[in-house]
Amino acid sequence: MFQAFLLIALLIFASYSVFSDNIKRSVIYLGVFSLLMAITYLHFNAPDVALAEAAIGVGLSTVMYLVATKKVSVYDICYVNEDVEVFDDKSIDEIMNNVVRPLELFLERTEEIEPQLAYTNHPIEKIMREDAHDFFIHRKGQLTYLYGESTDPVFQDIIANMDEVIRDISDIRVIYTDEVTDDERDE
Amino acid sequence: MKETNKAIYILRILFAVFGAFVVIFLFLNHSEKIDTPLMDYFTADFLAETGAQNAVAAIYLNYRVFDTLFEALMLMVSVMEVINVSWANKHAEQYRFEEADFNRKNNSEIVIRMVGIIYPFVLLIGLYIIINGHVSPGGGFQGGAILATALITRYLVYPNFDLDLDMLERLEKFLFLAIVTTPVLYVFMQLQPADTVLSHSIYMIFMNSLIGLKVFSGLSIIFYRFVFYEGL
Repeated sequence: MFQAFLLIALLIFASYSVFSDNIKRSVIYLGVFSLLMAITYLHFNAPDVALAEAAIGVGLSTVMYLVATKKVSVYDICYVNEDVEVFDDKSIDEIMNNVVRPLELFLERTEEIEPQLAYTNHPIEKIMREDAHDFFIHRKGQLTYLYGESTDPVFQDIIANMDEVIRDISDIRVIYTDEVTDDERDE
Repeated sequence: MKETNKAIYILRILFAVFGAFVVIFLFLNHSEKIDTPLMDYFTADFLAETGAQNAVAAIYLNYRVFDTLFEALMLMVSVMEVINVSWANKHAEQYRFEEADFNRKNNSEIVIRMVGIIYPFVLLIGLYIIINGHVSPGGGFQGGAILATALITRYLVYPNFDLDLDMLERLEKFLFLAIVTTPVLYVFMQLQPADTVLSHSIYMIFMNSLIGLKVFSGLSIIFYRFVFYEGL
């Protein structure tokens, strides 16, 4: 009974760690898998192997994978909506399902980089001057502006696959920040 | 150009076939025949023969110590390969001591406190597993891995590069030499002060400590190389 439980749990966590969307979550699932593996070895009377598995699988490789994922390149997305007065996690719901989730999936699956999302209600000019984000989503009334640099290949890919990345929004303007001069920006 | 490649290719195949024939010849004509099954041979009288109360330690430190030598060699080769690959990366002079990295506000307070509490116990259990490896489950490799885990958790709290990696590398190679010489003298050439359980136990403890220190330095070198010489 205990053996069947262990083996089924091993299978479940192995498939979780393979099919999970988020790299960090995969690493944690892998650690849980190693811990269960150590218990399984102990159940089958192999305490030496169990010790090695616990030390290497749970300790060393988990920390190593976490450090490695920290070094993976991160794509920095900033969501700006000046109409919201107090910004909290609920205010992002309106673009959660039709922009953020598909965009994250696209970045992880196709571009293989980690997306990172920040949001603010400060004016867009101030943010673009002061903070160096890779990609801006700016909501203004019914219009959605996407800002990015024309030399950025990831931004080009996002624009090229717009129908996959952004759903249910028809009014979208794409602006290349390095091709717009200052007086044009004032309009 | 192509013809010489083909000649070398044929020569390699001939060499491999010749090697296989030599191995098969030696195996068929000079292999030792034991009356009992291997399991009985290894488990019948291992305490008196090897001084280990743990059959696994008896096997990997006495009966089949040849395998242990090649395992140690394999770990050393992989460490050298990691060093080679990360040297080839452009920043060789990336020894650094960055104050910006050492910012306690970035690190979780919970992790710092918990690691501080757990750290001595992890060191203690690592040393216990190394020194008690011939009595209870465990041994050099497992204890060394636990010690390396302790050093690596130090990175989570204090991400600075103030370890002398060159010293660790030299230590690892010296330890490999010691690991090769000790069993060659003690097991193969039988240069034993006395053929008693006590002398065998001292040999076991000595070998386990050597292997533990070697695994500890090897795994730490691999980790710190990857952290400080690779990537962004």
